[in-house]
Amino acid sequence: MQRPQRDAALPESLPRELDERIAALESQGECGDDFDVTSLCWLFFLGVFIPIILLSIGWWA
Amino acid sequence: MRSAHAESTADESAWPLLRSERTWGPFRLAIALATAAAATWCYLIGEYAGYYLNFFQGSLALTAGSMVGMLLVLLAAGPTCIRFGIDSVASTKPQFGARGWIIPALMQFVSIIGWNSLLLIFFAKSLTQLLTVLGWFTPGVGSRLVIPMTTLIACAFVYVVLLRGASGITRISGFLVLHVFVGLWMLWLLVSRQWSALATAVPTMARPDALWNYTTGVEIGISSLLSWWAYIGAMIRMAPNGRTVAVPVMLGMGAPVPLLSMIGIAGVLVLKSSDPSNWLRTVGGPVYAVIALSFVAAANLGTAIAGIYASAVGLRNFRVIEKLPWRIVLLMTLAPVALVGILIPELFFASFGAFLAFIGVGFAPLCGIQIADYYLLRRRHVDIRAIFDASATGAYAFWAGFNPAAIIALGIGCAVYIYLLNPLTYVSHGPFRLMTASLPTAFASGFVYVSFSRWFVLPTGRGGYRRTEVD
Repeated sequence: MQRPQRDAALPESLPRELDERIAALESQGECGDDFDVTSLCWLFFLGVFIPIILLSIGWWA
Repeated sequence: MRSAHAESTADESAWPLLRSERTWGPFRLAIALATAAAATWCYLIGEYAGYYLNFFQGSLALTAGSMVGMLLVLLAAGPTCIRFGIDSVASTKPQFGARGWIIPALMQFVSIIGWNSLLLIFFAKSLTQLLTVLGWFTPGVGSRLVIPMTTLIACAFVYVVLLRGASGITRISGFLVLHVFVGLWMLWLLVSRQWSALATAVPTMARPDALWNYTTGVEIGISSLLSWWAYIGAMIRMAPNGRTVAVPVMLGMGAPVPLLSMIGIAGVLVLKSSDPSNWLRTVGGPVYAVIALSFVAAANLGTAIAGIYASAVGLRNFRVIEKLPWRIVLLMTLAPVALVGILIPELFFASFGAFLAFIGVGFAPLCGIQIADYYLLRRRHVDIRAIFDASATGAYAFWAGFNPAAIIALGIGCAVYIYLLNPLTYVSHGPFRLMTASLPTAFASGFVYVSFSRWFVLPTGRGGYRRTEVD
């Protein structure tokens, strides 16, 4: 596994496999993607919009 | 290159998972989350809402509150867990520090172990009732031994399933998720047969202030779902990205709880009992009783499996436990549950609920702190190497490994919550009736965290904050 350049000041105390995993994540190739615009829209719809509608129905109906 | 063995056991550690190891798609994630979410506590949640609200309002308030609570949890722990394939506890290191994460770790451990002790004792009681209904067991004969024995058997079953790590959850959840549909059938049974009584039922503890009752229903939903913070990281880290996670979490984990809680609301309003294993025999005879008891047993077992897995992964963050064999970590996680079930099941039932109520208070400020840190202070930049660097020179070392901003914000958040709504007595103050308790608590904690960090932490250069991002 390719390892990127490391800051020499960091302590070298991590287990080898953990160090390899972190290096892979730091190279971005193995990193997962954060919420994108589509998923944030879904979160807003399901976590904000729908609750407001439900609460309005429950209160006014 | 890592070995095949290392890849196969990656989900048994607290180490970050690589994208290639995160194989759960939306459907598998939703099934696993639904299996974890649906359990006996849904009846208890519904029961509390049914004390204050009628069926219609209670169902809507709980559903709305649950979706809001799920959103808070997902925005708090979600991004870091999804990006780096780590669990909820590890995701708190940028806020609490390289040693301070022990605070949320203890909250997670006590919460999960406490709830799972309750669930497995519930499981044991349901199994005892089931055997009694089937005529295979006479009440009174050796009943003192039945609950400890069945708790032990349940623990052994959970242990065997989880020996395969997260894949054990997927294997069992494909079957156990059926209990969600049995629960919906029970709800339909109760609503269709008791509709006239349900439509006119009056909640027994409703107060004259209708807004207070309604807000309390919403708060019960929010605070119940906030407890999922302890579970969520261990599950969503198995998925590769945010898009895969968003909808399955909101619908798979956020929706089943209010849906099944309706059983509790309807039960307590009409039959004065939220637990279907108590009333389904009256409504539908012994066959229905057997189905209900099987449902309760399966539901609690599914949740316990997910909970013990999340707790075991959380324990892996401790250096001393990090290198222990997975089977030993599982035993360490299950041992407190088994001991409670064997030695003090009734005492635990009677008194531990109060303690858990206060533990639950801590999750609202925790979510507020994580959201404020990730989106406002760090602007989505987290250093994965620093998360696993426990040295004094690490970016998240703060002061001796602890970040005072997070500890103070957590303490103030807990105090704010208890002031707004005492979780034991339901005595409320201030803006509770307009804003709930969890939402202002999360906001207050986030505000205190950001203010204290800007005033005290950032000027010292500690915490790994990028100056340009904060400005």
